[in-house]
Amino acid sequence: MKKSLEIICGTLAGLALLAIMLLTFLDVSGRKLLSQSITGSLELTELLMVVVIFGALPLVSLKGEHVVFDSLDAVLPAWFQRLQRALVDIVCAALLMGLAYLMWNTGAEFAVTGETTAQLKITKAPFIQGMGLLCGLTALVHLLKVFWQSDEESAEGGTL
Amino acid sequence: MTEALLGFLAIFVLALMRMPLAFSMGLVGIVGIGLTRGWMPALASTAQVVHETGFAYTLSVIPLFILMGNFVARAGLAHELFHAAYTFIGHRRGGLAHATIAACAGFGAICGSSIATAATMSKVAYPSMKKIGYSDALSTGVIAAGGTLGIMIPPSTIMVIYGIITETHIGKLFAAGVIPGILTAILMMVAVVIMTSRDPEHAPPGEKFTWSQRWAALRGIWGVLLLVFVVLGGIYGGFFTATEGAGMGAMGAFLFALARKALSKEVLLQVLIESARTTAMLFTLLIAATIFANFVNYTSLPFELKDWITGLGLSPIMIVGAMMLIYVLLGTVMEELTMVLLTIPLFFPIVVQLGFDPVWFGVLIVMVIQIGLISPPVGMNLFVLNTLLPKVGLGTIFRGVWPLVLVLVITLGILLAFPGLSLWLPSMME
Repeated sequence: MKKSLEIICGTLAGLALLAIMLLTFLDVSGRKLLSQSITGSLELTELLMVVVIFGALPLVSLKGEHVVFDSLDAVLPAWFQRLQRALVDIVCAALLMGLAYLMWNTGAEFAVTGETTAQLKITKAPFIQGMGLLCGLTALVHLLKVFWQSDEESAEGGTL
Repeated sequence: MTEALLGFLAIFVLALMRMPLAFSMGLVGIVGIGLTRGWMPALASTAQVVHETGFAYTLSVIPLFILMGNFVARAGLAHELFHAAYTFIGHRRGGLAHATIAACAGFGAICGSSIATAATMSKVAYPSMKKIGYSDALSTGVIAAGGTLGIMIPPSTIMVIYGIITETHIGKLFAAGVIPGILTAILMMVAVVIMTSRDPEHAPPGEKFTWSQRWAALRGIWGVLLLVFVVLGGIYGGFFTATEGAGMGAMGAFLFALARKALSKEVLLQVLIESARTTAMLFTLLIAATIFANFVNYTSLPFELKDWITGLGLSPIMIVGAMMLIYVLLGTVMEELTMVLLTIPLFFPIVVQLGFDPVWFGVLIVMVIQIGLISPPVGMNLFVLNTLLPKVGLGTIFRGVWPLVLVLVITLGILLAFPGLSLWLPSMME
């Protein structure tokens, strides 16, 4: 189950990122060299960004890659840490569930007004509801982590 | 004002309980807005922040630079950089340490991450230093500290983030980092000269190369130079926006990795997924920090803090100096990105009010992050090296790095005293 989550979400987010790269490259080189840009490349990038961010979110939670302050770990007993992690995961799950509900409803409002992107007229609602679904999936990951032995905890994010 | 202070307190308590910082900030922000302005506005503004941060073209600059850095790390360009530096200065006392710093600076010009630079260099430079008998403390200290050049020398992920949250021109921030980055590298080398003159047996000289070998090695770094020229030259010359430059850079690095057969299908997918995960992690923080900043900005804290500080009668530069002191101290125990995201809503308006250039303040912020990344006990670069080189203990790394922490603190002082070092290059733009 972990594996399939990694494959599905990872491929989705990874390919979206690859697409952003290719799109930016083609759009920029087309515009600068041939004075020919790709119609709607900006809004495609925006939609793809949503896929990258929210597609990869369940994996960040699965692998415990969110930034945490873990300096107290050294002094806390193991049973307390297990309890603490379980509680934290439950709170995170609740928060994400709320966010999922909020974004799903926001998406539904967009569906009613039928708002689309400016140039390509792509309906935005499914993307916003997709954010909600993936937040929900991330909430599920946190809930499952209460029961899963965490074997791949790593506190380092590679941003800085 | 009390509400906001309680908010900060709540974040620290939650963080101490091991709640991820993004979730702590987000939760406190939503609850804070809910209690002070009502729950409907809280939910509406949360939905808006998530929506706007998700659908933002300009923010695609973040994953693209992350992707570029990850491709560059795979492409093996660091080997050529280190080799070129080695052929020129490796035969001197401490030469490999100097070569490592120079290679870090060069790598920093194509990679925007301190951790990635340190991690890559630990694979490239550490084995060479180990082989000719460098002490572990010196070699890991130099790699950890040299790695931080990755975020000062453009491109730089943290400068992009600072630029986004403060609406400062990213191209100018990049230009502003060049001279401070080179200055830092030079001062680190001076420190290595002093350290190795005290105990030369820790840093024996390496092999000596002929001039023809040196030129051959220099020709090997054309790939790096081309990437730097296209991406940074393009952004500095106004030919690209930062986002466009990031896209070109990622594509260029992708092509290099491809040409060097460093990318199988599996590796490519792995790089893409890794970059996407880092992006998601970062955006969770960005979204949460924006929600929390919205809450803080609804309260009277920013105003009152501004009034209080300007009422102290301190000179503007002393105020910024005090902020830097707070950052350096906080940075020893806090995760640096969170530290910046939490404090910018409070500090940035004051700095602007005092009449300082946001670009200059951005450079100072990057410098305090550099210091925080290598200052014990909690320095991410040190932990990364400890993970990658498990045979070297954390204590040894601490011992090797502290003189270089001192160097960065001195550099911070210099940058504080001479804003021109940061602001001259950006002033030439346009």
